[in-house]
Amino acid sequence: MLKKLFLVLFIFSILFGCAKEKENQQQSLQNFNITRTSTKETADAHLNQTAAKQAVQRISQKREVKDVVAVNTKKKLLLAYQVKHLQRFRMKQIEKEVKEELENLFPDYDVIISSDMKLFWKTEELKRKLSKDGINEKEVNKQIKKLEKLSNELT
Amino acid sequence: MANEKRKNLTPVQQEYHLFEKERETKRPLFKNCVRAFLVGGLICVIGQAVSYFYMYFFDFTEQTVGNPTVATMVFISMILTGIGVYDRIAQFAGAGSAVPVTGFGNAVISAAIEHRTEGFVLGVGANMFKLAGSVILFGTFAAFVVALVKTILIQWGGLG
Repeated sequence: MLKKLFLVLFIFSILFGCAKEKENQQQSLQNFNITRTSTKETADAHLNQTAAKQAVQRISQKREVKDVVAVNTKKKLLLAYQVKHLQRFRMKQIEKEVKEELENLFPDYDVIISSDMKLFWKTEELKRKLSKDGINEKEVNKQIKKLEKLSNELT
Repeated sequence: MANEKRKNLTPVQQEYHLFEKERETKRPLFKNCVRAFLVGGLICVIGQAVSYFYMYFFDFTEQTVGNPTVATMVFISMILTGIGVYDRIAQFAGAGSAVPVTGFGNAVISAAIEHRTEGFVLGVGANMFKLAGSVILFGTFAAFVVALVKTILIQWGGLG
């Protein structure tokens, strides 16, 4: 009796799960098409992430760095990185190097860097939002400001 | 016992000392170390999980997550002491449960429980920080000395 119940539940959950997934997929595809044809392009032009991509490429070449993620707006470049475990002794020095390199590379940007885990997660989230949902620049600026404030907190 | 002290003893006392040393049960030093390492490490893993919890669900960074994590760990150990679980852990782990910050919570609450019968003011209030008081005092003092050394090194030694 119990086994049958489980079987039924199992089948139902699979059916419903898959059905929903397909629906989601279709929706996202639709979204994709709509945004492609309408407003998204202007938004993209405002927020092209070439600077962020370049920065990620440059910093991830460093031997001490494990993972990098970056987001940029017109004026600001937010970059978060993770340092390999045994290199954490040299955290301050690495931070200085990264900052110097980025400021040389992007003199017109206001560069914000952080090696904090929280900042890394948040930047990743922001990047995902940017590429998927296409939030506008004002919102991104607000988020970056918030993260900058967060990274400067000490206690 | 130190060798100099043993010279002052009478021959009979020395003989007894050897006799006693032979029959004394040995402290299981290695086993205690392993237990302390494992349980202390486990406590630290829990602490790390708590700090990741705060970082993930609230606006704390790696820099700022220390305070709420320590507060939570002390709070948990206080509750465990109150319901009598922490004593058992301490019996098993020894220093492994006393050295992490959870030992502080245990020291406060166990003293409070012990002196509860003497009343709230002169019992609990006066004796609560009997052991933890020295932790606070020497912790603050050590922090002061370290800050002093660091300041001197940075100001005059050109360090940092």
